[in-house]
Amino acid sequence: LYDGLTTVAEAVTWELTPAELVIHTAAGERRVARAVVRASTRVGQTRRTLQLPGGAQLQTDDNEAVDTLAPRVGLERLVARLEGHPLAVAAGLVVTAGGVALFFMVGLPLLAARLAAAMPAETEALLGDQVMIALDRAAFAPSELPAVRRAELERLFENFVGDVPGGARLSLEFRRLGEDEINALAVPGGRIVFTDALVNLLEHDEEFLAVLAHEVGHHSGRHALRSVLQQSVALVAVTLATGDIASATGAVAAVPAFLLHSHYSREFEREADATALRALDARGISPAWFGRIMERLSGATAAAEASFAAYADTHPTGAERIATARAAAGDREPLGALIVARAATPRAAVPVVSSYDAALLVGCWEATSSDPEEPPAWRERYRPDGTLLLWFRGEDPAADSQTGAGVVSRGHWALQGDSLVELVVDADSPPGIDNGEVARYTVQRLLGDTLQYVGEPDGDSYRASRIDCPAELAG
Amino acid sequence: LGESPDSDPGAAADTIGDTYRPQAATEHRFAFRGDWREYFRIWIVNLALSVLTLGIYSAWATVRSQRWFYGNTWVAGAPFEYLAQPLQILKGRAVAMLLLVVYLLVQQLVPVAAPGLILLLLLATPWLVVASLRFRARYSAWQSLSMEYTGELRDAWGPFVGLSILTLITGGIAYPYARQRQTAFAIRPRRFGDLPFGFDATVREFYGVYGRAAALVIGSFILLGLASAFAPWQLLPEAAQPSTSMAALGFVVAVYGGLLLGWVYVSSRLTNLTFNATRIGRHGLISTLRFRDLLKLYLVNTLAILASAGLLLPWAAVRMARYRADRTRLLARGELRAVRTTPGAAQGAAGSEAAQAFDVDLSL
Repeated sequence: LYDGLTTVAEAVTWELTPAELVIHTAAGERRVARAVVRASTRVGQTRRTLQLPGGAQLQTDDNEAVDTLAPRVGLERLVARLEGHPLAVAAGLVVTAGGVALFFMVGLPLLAARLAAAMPAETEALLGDQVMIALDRAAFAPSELPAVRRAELERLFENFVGDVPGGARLSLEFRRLGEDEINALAVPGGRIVFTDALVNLLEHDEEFLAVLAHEVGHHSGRHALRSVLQQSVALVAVTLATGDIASATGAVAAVPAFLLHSHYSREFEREADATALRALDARGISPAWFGRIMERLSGATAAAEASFAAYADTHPTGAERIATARAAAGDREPLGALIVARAATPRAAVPVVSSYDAALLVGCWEATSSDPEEPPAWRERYRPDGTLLLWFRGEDPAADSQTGAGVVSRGHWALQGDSLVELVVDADSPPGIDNGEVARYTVQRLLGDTLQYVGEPDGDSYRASRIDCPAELAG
Repeated sequence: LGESPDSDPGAAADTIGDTYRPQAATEHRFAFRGDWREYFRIWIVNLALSVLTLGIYSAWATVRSQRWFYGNTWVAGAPFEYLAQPLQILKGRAVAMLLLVVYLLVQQLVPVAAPGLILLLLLATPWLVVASLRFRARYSAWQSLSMEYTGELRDAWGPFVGLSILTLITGGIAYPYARQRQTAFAIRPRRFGDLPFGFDATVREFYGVYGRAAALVIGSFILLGLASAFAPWQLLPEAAQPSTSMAALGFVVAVYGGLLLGWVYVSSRLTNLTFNATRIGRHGLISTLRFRDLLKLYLVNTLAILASAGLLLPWAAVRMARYRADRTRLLARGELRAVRTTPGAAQGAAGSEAAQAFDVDLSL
């Protein structure tokens, strides 16, 4: 018993009557109505305090007796009972594990997506400006790419984002990053940044578009914003959950935070990959391009081991992404494979996976050559069944222009990897056509209405533009 | 209530000034009596309730957990008591969370404004510190009597703003000095009834602790650097040597290992220094935390928590509480008796919660 004034305890005994708390002290007996006694709630086996009117306190370890004194139904009383019940403890484990998993895997991403969608584009643009200023100050150096190359990629970019929803807000920038780090970033507000090293790694425009589509995917998913929101809320939640006993654990709280971060990043990368593959598909660019550039990226980054580790942290494994792209490209390969078997001298027994979509080539083209000995222009028709029609004005261009007639030769075509294989099998073909011989070309660009290829092994370059099929190539 | 203390009468004569006549001193050991299995049940049930209520219940959870730890810490035959009410904590927590979210958002979304925010936080520190010291003191009780904290906001500006800036300007050289002033500010204005607190650790002693910690960190860097330079695998053929990323990992481990050593050293020695320099009326505290014990505790706790996916958090927390209690004694000179001098008044929890969430370091 404490008198409420000093820390000196007086040892007493006490008992409960139906209406009163009776305390037996050395000086005599003190009676207090049960209703005015305030008992502290039970926490484990810790000592309980009974507040008496006038400031005095009775402290006791007799938890059971105190429980009968305060038989009120209250929140803490219920909790105290749960804490003592093995079943409740087991349920607590399940609820905690399930709740935590549900919150971080489902609830939080959903919440962040909603919040991000609600944020006005202007705010995001403002934020993007800030991020870009910070990056320019801390990490980036101006690009050293030739202006011609940049302009070329700019044009491809404009074409690509033309029909992307919200594409008008997107812009393309080039920077050097660190020791020529290979990377592309989607900065909030619509900036897409390619590093010089990445651009130098690209061999085909389609590869550029594949990476671009991935970054556009980040933008249309508003990933930057969502990841900021998710990580902020996750950090708050982790702090809340471990705050009570954080002192005992030191840096342990950083581990779940780190794991969550890389988990969320991987989710976003997968989402952007999926968006990219769909976008490429819609533009008739084979998803195999995506797999190809991923293959090259993981090859290049594996060489620089340190940066690979950083990349692998937040991205799905390269192999996984390449496989996804291959699977998406899968149903387009038979066309190429079919023709290879028909060609007279197939170079490879097993058809190579075509990076180009053969269906893109189907149709009519007007071609020109850099070789002055070749005819100035001719027309070709690639049919879906693998047959080929060639139309030349004839040996003497001047004569053709008067007659308007020409010669049609027949043959086969196929796409093997990047190689375009053509084989003319036509006894009536003009003398300039090598009847029965396989001609190989390396395709450099097959995009929309443009086709560029180089002859093997002479290196002559050819350009072709898509045309409406003319009468002479009908049938 | 008759708990007989482990006593050691006459072990030390009064050495604090000559205002008190020399008298027999009694040592009372602190003891932590809680069983981690009991705390596990409390912890998991309250955590589940916090999860179910989307965090709102966490204020109640905090109070119950604090009451369990206080109530199981005994000295001189009586346990401590934690008296804060959940609603006070809840209000403070709501404010603190709001501040934390705003801080994180600004830091992430408008990084340019982050320094301004840190400045604001620095300016708010005195208020946070004073409010949280008041709150913690008022709701900590022993033998029915609460502590009190009478420090004034205006006196907090020097130690917490002025000296923080000085620390920045001097590149950290003034840090031990700042810590000494801050600790003194946190302890001297305390009162336990009619017993005022005193604190007589000198600036020189603080520099001693930090100086030895710096030597320890630098020394361990040098040792670990030498170890990796002359490691046995250097003798292996090129192909069999660890790859560069392994070496980089080893470097990171070495750096963090060295910093961990320094941190554990500082936390053990600073606690000892602070406790041993604290007087409560005529009475004193003795703390004898050992660096290697604490290091072992931290390492084992961390491994256990990681290996059990967090389920052994209660076990780790209880182990730490028990070790700290075992290494702390109360040196009583004369009767352990304090008398209430003022009636209690309420103080909001916002300071305490905000301080905790922002991890403003407040020893003791």
